[in-house]
Amino acid sequence: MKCQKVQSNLIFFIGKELSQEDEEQTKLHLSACDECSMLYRRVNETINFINIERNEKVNPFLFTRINEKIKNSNSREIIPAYYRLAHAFVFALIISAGLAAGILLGTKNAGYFTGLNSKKDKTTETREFTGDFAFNDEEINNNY
Amino acid sequence: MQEINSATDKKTIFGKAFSDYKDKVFSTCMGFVHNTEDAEDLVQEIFIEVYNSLDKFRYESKISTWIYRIAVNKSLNYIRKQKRKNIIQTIELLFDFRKAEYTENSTVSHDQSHNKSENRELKLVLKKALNTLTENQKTAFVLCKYDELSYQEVAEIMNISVSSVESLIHRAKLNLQKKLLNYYKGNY
Repeated sequence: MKCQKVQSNLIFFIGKELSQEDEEQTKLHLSACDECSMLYRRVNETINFINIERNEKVNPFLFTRINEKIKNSNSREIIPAYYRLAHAFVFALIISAGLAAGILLGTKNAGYFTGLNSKKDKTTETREFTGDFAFNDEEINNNY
Repeated sequence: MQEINSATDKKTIFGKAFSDYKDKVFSTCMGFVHNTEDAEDLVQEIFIEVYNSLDKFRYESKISTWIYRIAVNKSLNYIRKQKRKNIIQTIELLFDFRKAEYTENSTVSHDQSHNKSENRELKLVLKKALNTLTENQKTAFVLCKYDELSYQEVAEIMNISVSSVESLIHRAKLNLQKKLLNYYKGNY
């Protein structure tokens, strides 16, 4: 048997999946070939490492940890729906009240400021008008 | 058919499922992640999912098949996340050489500390070789070799035919052999 064939069947030789004839020939080849023998040893070690990983034991306190997590997640979920609804309703109410108050105050102040501005404007306008163009009685009497 | 009538029933069924399948689920997770801490985290996630979905379970399949399906899905998701994380880390390291040096050093020292307790090379080689398999090949191989399930059971869990399982495992073995031979020939 050639090296290439032995190497292409190594994993099946390790898993004892070869026919009896192939198994015998592979054994013969491995006892005579250093390279194939080394490769068989390394591949076998690696595949057998699966058994080491498989036999690792789970932490004995894992069940307690899982139960604790389940309890915590349940206590978070327990908040009743009506409570959440009421919460949202109160929040919406506060926002609406704030908006309404804002609009009301805004409207009042806007009127107040508009009033002041118009007064100021009128006075200025009158003064300017009086200064530049008007003929009032006093001025007429003084001049003539 | 078993019905869950109360919270006590649910807890009893869950407790039994945990004691019956914790080791098997842990083995499955080890086959996917090859790390005890990560496997325990996964087992925790899997059994929390089992507890939360127990009400929805209709006993149309075996409870073991259902638990294995959850375990496989969670493990595959974990691996996908890890892959994404690794890609992001590689990109980050490309732009930050100082950080790259630091991470390299810290990895080496972390690995050295583990070196005493376990055969790190074998673990790494096995992990790398298994990670080159496709998701289906890996799932079939892990269920068959780590959990020692029959082809029929693997077929039920993966929802495929027995002949597909046979073919997946055969290809998985050939790919695994190819990777291992390449690695050891390189180190010869």
